[in-house]
Amino acid sequence: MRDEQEYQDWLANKQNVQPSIELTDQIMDTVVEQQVLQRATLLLRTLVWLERTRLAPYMACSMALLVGAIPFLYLAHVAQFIAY
Amino acid sequence: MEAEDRQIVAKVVDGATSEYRRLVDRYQQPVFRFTCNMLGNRHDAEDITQDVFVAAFGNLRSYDAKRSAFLTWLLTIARNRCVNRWKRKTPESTTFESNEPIANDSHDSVLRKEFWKELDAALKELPLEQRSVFVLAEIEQQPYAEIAIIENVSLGTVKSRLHRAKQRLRRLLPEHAREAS
Repeated sequence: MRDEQEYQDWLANKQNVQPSIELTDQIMDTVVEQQVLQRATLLLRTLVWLERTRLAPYMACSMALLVGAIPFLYLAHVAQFIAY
Repeated sequence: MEAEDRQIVAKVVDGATSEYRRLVDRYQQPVFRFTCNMLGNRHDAEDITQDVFVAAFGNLRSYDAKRSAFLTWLLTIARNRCVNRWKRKTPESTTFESNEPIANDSHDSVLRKEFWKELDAALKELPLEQRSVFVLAEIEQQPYAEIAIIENVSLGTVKSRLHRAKQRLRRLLPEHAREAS
């Protein structure tokens, strides 16, 4: 090479390359976004799984039965305090 | 340092995402430096550095501290991304930016600028596997054993690639630069 010193200077120059100061923030922002996206994807996958396993209709029917039974349960509970 | 990295990784895996910033702060410079010297383009290098840290975060559970240091793992991801990026690009779209010496009108400075440009151009001409080993060994000052892990080759292959890279770099330098040496 032309000069060992100049070669070493070139290497030193290459070693001094610096990223922009916002890079850390950019990376962390993307990481947090990705995490939110991963959670949303997980939720979506769970919902799709529920839908596909036909668990969702059963769960919805069970909930509707439970909610529909509330007035009857209430009446049954109240009825014991009424003297005929 | 490595033990500390392991602790941070464990915390992040357990859900402390903010702890990841410590790893980013610690290693973004070597990763960026490596990608920048591989691709010769700051914009692409920042893109890939970001990509590397995001990919590392997503795959943090698969990181095995017994196999390699955290930086080695990051550089492995960075190396693969650089190779993919380089292969995707057409030769016309790849420009090598040089970190030019401080502007100065002196004759020495002009000569140095020329010499550095020639070295940059010669580095760009190296085959990817040689360039990668050269950047890791000469610029990043990584031990050969770590380079072997990053490149997924034997120690002997690393040494021979580095030797060939240096030889080729000398050969690729324009005639007048070699004559002056």
